[in-house]
Amino acid sequence: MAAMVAAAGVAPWEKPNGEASDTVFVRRAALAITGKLPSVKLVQEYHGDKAQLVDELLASEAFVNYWTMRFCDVLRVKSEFPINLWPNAVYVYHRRVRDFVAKDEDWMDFARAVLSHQGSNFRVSEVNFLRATPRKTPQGLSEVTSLTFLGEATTVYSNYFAAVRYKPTREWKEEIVYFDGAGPEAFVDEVMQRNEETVRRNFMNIIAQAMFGPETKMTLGKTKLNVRAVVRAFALSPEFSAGSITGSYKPFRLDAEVIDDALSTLTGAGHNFTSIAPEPFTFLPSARPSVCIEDGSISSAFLTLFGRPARDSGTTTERDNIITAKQRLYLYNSGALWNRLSKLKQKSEQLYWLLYSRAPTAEERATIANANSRDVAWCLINSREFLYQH
Amino acid sequence: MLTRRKFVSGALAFPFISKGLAAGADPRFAKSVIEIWLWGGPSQLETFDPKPLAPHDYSNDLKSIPTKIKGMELHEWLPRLANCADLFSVVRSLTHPHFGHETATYLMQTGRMPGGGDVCPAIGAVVAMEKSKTYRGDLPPFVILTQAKGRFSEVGFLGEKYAPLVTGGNPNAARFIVDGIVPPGGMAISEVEKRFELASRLDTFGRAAPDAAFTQAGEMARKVIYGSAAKTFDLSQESDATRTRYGRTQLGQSCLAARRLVEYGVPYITINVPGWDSHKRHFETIKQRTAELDTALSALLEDLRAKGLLETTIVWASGEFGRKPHVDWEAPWNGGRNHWASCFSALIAGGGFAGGRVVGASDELGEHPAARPVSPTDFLGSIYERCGINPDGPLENSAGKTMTVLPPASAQGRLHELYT
Repeated sequence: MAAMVAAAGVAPWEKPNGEASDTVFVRRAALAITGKLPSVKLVQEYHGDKAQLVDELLASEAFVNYWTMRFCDVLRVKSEFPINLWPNAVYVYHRRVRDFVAKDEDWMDFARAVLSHQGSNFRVSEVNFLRATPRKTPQGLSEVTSLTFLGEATTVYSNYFAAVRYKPTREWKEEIVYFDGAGPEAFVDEVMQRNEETVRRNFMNIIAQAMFGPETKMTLGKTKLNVRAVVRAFALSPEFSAGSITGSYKPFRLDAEVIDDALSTLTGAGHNFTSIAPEPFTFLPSARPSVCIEDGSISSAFLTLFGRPARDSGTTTERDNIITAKQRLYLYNSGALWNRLSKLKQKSEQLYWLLYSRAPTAEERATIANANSRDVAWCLINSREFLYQH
Repeated sequence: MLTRRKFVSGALAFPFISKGLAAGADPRFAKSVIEIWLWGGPSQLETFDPKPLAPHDYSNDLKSIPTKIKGMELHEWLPRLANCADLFSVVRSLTHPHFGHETATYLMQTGRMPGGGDVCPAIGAVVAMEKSKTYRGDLPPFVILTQAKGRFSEVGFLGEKYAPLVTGGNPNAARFIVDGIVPPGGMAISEVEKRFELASRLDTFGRAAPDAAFTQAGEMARKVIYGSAAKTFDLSQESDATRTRYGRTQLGQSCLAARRLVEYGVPYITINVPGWDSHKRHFETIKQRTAELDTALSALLEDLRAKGLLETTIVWASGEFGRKPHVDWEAPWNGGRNHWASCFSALIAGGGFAGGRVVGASDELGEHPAARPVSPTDFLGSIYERCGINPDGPLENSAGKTMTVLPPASAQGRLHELYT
């Protein structure tokens, strides 16, 4: 009997060899790659081909949405104080970052693009990199550029930015970025290329932190330096397959937007987001997922409570994924959430597939047989198995 | 026991907090602050700085009334406050140069001008942070009744930890539902317990891989649900007479809730009162509001005094600015008052501030300070000092910002003339 139990691993989360079970791997990969829980169909049809699953997830629109969001955090895509990109520029810039993710653009090439363009913030999206900072001085630009590409802010490279200038036009909130002399493109050749290892490590850490938990520092061997390639390599690494109970994968709380979207998908009810500036795109349709919100200035009480970054600094530590009593109190007690749960049509067993991406165990099945499905939904969304990446 | 007066007049100009003596526990300092924020800018002429002798275009021929305190007159619309004028003081010479709502709010709340790349925290968050060193309640240290100010970050760069609990709901409704604290949908505690029990049985993953931080956060949250924290919002525990005394209005019942929160120990409570931005038909729109304020604020001060809480509770009432003394009679204003930051008033009481005094004076028309101008920084600095927080000391924060709590005091200085 003991041998049978041992052979089962830590069911249903780990295989006997300490690796994550199939359902855990599918859930983990879907969340890490697309920021969404896997569809029931995806879980139930998975038969162990990790590469195929990962490639299918990487081909989805959701992959682009989620990773654009993570890189917009680092690039400070925010319309209001203290970044002051202004909404029109935010949407243009966001689209450019989306292209960077979707088209497998090399990180070095992206750096070159944002440091070599001149023109209007509305029409030449790349120039917004040099505008996404409260301090538009050579020192300030050196700091944000070195933070973004080398991982540490320093004013040592101020001379590269000495010629960057800004001037307004007659169009409301439009600004021209131009170079009165040599532009900062030389930073790519003289600093980034010469510190290639640092640039690579920093890029990989940004991605690793989303996939393995905040504060993670992880590198890989030779992979191309684009988002899709690095995400793929991490997802197929042995570390990513490790179990989270006896294995080495450390669970961490999901992003605010991911939890918000998961709850919206479950209850069929999204939020209405509005921007606080009376500019275009003031009202976002409620069906739109939170991960798609382009502007760091648009948020909600829920997202702020769960640590959506303000995008003021561009550091990855600005996103706060630490669980707090206030968050748990909200999930326990929110009247709005309770009302949404009351409208659920699914039965308890189905909720396990929707929220946990697995079937209930025999023990769990027995417990939920006598329980109200709304109460079961409440139990599941308040558990670590739902709220965490594991 | 050392009284504040003896200590202040001693060798130290001001008693700073020493490492061993946190501001929260020290009996010399205020324990709680209630801020009544009159959003939009209340008219100083129709409240604390009446000008009955000014021409019709300024005063609309409205009168002032004497108060319990000789020499302090209030507008005729504040009879109840006039009757307890020994409990509070008024500052009549607040002044700053910013006539826009958001800039003025930021200045009146943080003591600083916006800009420079930093989003500074408001006084509520800073006091909450300081008092958190000794406050052990289950409610957050900063509570807002019932809506946040809007277009303003109370917590700034201090971080989510000191963000206010915004109650929502309506304290004047049959049940004051504070979303997140009070169980949803009027659920009984026994039902809540049954759900927790079910959750515990279903927590198979939690049993396989326990996580201390997650468990602890859950326990703290449960303490709020089960404990006395939720009961502070249950106004049905107060007598009908008390509830009527405060006024059966949202403001009145919010003031009552604020008193209960002070009793619970919450360090900073803000009541945001909308509707003071009376550009149009000022006199018609403000008369009712002022009457509600009169009833609620007088009840609050008298109740705090009766319960022995006024000595350790600061109450301050103000807006981001005042209103223009010269009335705009023509259309579309039709007797309205525009913004006016050059000279406006605030009320301050309790927690180490003396009652029955007037600080500063405005000129004949109430347009500019005639004596003792007070800057927002000095006003806030006085509140900080009475709370035992050094406004000239470093502002602790985890965002790596190096700055003092407030910019330096102006030449006129903080409101020492009110310190008891």
